[in-house]
Amino acid sequence: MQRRGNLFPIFLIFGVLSVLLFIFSQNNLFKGVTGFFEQITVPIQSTAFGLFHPTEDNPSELKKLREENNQLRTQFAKHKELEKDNKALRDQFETTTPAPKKLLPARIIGMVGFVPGGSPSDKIIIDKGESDGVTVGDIVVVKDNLVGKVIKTSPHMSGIYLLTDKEISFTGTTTKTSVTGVVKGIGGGRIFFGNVVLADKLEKNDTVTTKGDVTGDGGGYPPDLIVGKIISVSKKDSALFQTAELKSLVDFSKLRIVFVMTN
Amino acid sequence: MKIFFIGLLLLLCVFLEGTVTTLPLVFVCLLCVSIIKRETSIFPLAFFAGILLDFLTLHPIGGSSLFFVVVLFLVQLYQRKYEITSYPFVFVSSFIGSWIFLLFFGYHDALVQAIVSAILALVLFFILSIT
Repeated sequence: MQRRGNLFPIFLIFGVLSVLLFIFSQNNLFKGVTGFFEQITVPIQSTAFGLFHPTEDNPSELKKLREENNQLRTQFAKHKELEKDNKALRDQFETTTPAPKKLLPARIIGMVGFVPGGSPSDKIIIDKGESDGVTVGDIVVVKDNLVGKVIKTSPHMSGIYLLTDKEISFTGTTTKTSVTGVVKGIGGGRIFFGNVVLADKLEKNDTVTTKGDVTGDGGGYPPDLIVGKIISVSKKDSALFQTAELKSLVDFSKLRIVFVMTN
Repeated sequence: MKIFFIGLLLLLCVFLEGTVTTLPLVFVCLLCVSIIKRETSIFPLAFFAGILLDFLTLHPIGGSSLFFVVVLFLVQLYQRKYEITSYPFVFVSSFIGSWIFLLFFGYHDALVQAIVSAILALVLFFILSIT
């Protein structure tokens, strides 16, 4: 029963320590310490993640077909983009090239969801950070598919918002009908394609790619990355805009390695 | 031996919460231990568990620690006037605490997760009580 008299002073000590840590961390004063601890925790975290997200060595026939289908969609989207590029080049004989990007492979070490390994997650943590050249705002991809955006970095880890997160929003365009709209995550593993005027044509199974919101310093969303395919269209005559729900060609829950596009 | 077991349990919860689940397992664990042990030695444990959790989840360091320390202080303050070693108290306190924690860190489905956390707290409280 020694604790009763000590309760308030002990609370005060740890409370003040926590507040100080919080303030210091907000001002990036712990980078060295954080980096040291992360070197210890990242391998453990990676192992723990692997236990709940085992890799599949023998994909079934259905999975192979899905993979092939996704590859064909990717090729089709590329083909359409090349056609457009050719036309533009023929018209103008010149084109602008976005700042060159380097792909940095990174292992996923955290993908928190309500049910471990079951429910959709909107955020992942990777084992690459500032020391590897990752910066906030870098784009994360798998093959030609957009996965998400880096929102936080530490010396050896980075946090990424997946396309499905509410914070994600950018301009996208459909490959078949060249309709432009806004891609927005709404959480819970869902993505919407909105702000499309009623006169434009949205088709089910059409592929949506990034339109390209590249900033002067080479940041932002590069063009022609595949966002997903349209799985349903919602169009009401009384509404100002029509919307569509998208499904990414990538199953985020099965991902183990992603690529960060660093400048 | 007991402190070793509690430390191990907390470490497991920290790694699970930092890697695969958004359920506030560390908070639930700390709350149950605090209610049963009723000792101030829980504060350093809560402090360090919070720091480790913030490292793994890339949350601002000190945020989780502050939350744990404040809630555990309120719980221990409450025990001076009322009996807290009861299932209804464990359920209500873990539900409210988890809900606030999940809202504070911006997780989805906070209400459902808070209910699941409260049920987990009851199970853990039962296990810790008999051991």
